[in-house]
Amino acid sequence: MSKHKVLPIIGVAALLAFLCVLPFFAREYYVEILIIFLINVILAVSYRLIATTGDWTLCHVVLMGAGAYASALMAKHFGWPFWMTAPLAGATVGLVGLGIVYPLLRTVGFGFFIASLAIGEFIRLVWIKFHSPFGGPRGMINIPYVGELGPIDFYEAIPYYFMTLVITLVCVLIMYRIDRSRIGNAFKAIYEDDILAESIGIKVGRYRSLAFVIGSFFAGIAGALLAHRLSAIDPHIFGLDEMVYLLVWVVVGGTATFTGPIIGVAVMTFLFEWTRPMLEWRPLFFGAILIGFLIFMPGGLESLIAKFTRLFGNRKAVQPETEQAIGAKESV
Amino acid sequence: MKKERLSGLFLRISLTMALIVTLSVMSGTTAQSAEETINIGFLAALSGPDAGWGLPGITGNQIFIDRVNAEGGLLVGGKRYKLKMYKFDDEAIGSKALQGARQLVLEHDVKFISAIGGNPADATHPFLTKKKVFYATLISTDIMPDRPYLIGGGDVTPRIDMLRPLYHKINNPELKRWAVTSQDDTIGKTCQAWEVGSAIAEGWDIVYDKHFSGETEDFAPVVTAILATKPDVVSLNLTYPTYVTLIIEQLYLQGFKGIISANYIDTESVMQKVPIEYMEATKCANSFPLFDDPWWGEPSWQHDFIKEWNAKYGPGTPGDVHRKITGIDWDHVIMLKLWAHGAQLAGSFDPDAILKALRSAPSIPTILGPGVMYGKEMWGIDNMISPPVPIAEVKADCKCKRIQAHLRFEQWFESRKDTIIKVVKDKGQYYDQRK
Amino acid sequence: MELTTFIQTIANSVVSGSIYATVAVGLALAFGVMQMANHAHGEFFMLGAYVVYVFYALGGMPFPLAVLAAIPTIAALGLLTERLIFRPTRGNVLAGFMATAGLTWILQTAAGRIWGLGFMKMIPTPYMGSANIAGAQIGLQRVLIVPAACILLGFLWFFLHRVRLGKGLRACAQDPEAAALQGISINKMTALAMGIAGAYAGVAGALMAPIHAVTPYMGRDLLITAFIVVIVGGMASIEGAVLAAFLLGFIHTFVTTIFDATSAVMVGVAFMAFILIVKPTGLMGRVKA
Repeated sequence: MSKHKVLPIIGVAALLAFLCVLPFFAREYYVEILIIFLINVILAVSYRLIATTGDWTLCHVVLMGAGAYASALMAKHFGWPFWMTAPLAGATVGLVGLGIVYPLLRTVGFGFFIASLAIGEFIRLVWIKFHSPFGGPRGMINIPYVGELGPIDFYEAIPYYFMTLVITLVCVLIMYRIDRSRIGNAFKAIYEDDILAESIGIKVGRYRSLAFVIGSFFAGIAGALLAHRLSAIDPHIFGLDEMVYLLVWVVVGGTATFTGPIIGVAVMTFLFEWTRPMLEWRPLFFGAILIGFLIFMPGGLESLIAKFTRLFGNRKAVQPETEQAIGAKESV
Repeated sequence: MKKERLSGLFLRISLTMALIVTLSVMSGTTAQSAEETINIGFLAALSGPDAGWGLPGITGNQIFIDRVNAEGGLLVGGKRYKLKMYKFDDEAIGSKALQGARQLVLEHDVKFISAIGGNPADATHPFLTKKKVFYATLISTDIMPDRPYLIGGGDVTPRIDMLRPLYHKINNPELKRWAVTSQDDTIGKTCQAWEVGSAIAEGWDIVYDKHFSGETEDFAPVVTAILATKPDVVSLNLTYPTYVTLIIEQLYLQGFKGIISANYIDTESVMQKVPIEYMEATKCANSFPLFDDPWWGEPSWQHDFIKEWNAKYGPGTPGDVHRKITGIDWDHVIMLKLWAHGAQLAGSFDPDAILKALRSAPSIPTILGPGVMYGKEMWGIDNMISPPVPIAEVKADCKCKRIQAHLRFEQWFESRKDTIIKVVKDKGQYYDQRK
Repeated sequence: MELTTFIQTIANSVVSGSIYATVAVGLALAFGVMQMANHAHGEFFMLGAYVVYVFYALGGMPFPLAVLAAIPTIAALGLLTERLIFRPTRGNVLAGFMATAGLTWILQTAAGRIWGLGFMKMIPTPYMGSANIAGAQIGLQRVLIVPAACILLGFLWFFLHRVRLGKGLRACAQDPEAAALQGISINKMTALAMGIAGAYAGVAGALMAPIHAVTPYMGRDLLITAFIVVIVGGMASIEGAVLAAFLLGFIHTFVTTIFDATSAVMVGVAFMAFILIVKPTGLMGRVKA
């Protein structure tokens, strides 16, 4: 193996070791934050997956919410355990995604963006309006916890953290493999030039849908993880504000590479907690960060790292100056 | 090659730095001599539409804390404990409240939390029950048997909403038609159910019993729909104070001539929209009287409180909060005082001992008068303190609200409870139905 | 529905429609001219209301003057937004939209810090009392919104069709390249468009200040409504925006009166999705979303 390949692997292994050891040194409150961090990683990476085709959505957090509600409903009403409800929730949201994307395929760029907002809001309003079964504005409470596995009680923070860590790794790995595969290549080809892609036999509509459904599936998994940690969910936590936070993570990290969004989540989670003392000013601070990155560093932090390391050398060469990173295709 | 060595080095350095920074931020113990200071939490909406129920309460709590600390601390079990308050803005959102509860308990080891209730109560109770931390809600409907440390009753909700039909029936026995509305959330739905049950028990005809969406900004259509039912009394139950103002404005503009009644009316802000004469003519009955009301008499704890408040937070003072005192400024400290009293009775801060001591006391002094721990038939557990409920009306001469009656709850409830509970159950709002 | 209720609802709808129209025309103009999708449009509205709060409620200036003061103030904010956010992101609608999402947070937080959170601000109603119009009681404060909106919209129409600068703006919206060839400065046009957008959103907020609760978040829900109006009306069409505004005003108000506000928003949002998918040019637009 060339030096090029060894280094990243060592880096990843070190990171993993770090993540395994961390919860034993950190205070319980911070372990909870780490759990949310991991869930957000799944969310951000799945969002980026859809965005590789050029489709930027505003409904991704709602899809996570759909997964949360689905898992909660199955657990509460059927009494199914987490290891059943989580993948089923993912599948449900995948199906919801399928239902959403077909009409959305008729739109591109900004139209796609706003239409996804409209549909997302509609779904959220359905949760608000219908007290049965969604609980209305109050949402759902008493969502069953994951339970126990022998002596390990997943109610406790550290066990849940490790469970989430494993699930996150699996999800991220799957999405990584997809990204590197022919399917991933097709996504990127569509983004580069969809007419050209169509002409060489890539059915653009099918691949856009595929990306959307896969992304939705993983958003659903993230939602299930959230629902069973909080034990109470309500429509507010899946609103537009939270969606804009997701956009901040993805913009700050960058979307040209697979790891960009992960970096974005990590940096912003850290900043989020670190700025807790200036709680009242925090949204202003984050708004400024979003604007700053969009204007001065649209490639995100990964483009900065790329400048230094040049590890990300091939195919999708990152040019920080282009708007390629924030690139919904426009049709005027 | 040079590039790879540089990049590898960069990676290693950054990883190490990340490690160090994260570990230092996350590890370490909270240095706290737990024996001399007891921490309490204020976990409520400090921004957004609900902030009206939360933010002002901080001043009342702080006045009490400062008084206690000035004496050297709270005397419990022969030892003195200073008090310190930590705040967390949960924006009335359940998940944020849970995060706040975790932070307050895990980082600051609070023993008692002042809160508004509703969704946040639902979201935080498993955690707080496990950690055995008191959660004082303004909304007694949050009380449930599986929440042993969730207490309420300092706020007059929903007892006032249940007593208002009685109050208006006594004053205006010829009136028959009762309309009620509130926003569509946990709080509104449950409290309105108890009010409707009480109104029926008092012989009122319920002509309008709906909720408006919490997203509503334009209340003209809502009020139009209400007035179409030709009510004698329009009750706003537990509508948020700001919405109350806007609804009363619409009632005025659309020509309503009956009685307006609610849980809480912010007189100051309604006066900006509506002539004071209209407010007096429609009575604008509500609670949360001001503490300079002559009803309390002089001297009184209440008058002292308002003097102290003005001295600390009034205009021109260093702590100036740029607003007048409201009924919420004392609304949270009632429960804080109750808990402190309970700790003194029990001789310890052990939550179970405190509850036991409070429940066995034949009469507990509170800001609103003597009360008892009550509520088993309403909530399934006696976690509600029940002092008498003051009902006020708006008077033009002082441009404020003045107490007209101070009603005891328990005896009246005993005589009406069967009818009321049946209505609440039919609406699916009884405690064992709200899962 | 009873007749009085019906008339009352019609009256409420006209007022709603007037406000939506005033708010949305600026957004339509900005989007039409240079694809500037302003997420902070709701905050322009909010700050217009705060102008009235500061000058009228706190400062004691007469109400009409305070409303007029909102025009240059928020227009200036619009110009700044164009210069600092939309110009650097020109060509990338999404980036502009996201950046103004950041601006939303900045403006909301700033307003909250400067004028405080907690209880919402109540502005004394300058014209208390109501008018009896065909059996319906409408607050005077609301009644005056309708003529005010008509004047503002009329003025805009005049500007766009009879004044050279305005005609240049329309030309730019229809075909920017041709307009540039004619010597029209794109920068000048985008600045003008955002200035107008700010002015109109601001004055709408100012007019609504005594009617709403004034809080830093009062623009939040308006944003979705404004986008629904603009998209349904056709992204660049001013006439379409006005038409859609009144249509939406009626739908919203009737649905709220008969059902509830949540259902009203659902209907609006569903309608927007429908238009985007089925007829992306909107009811009257030429530009595809």
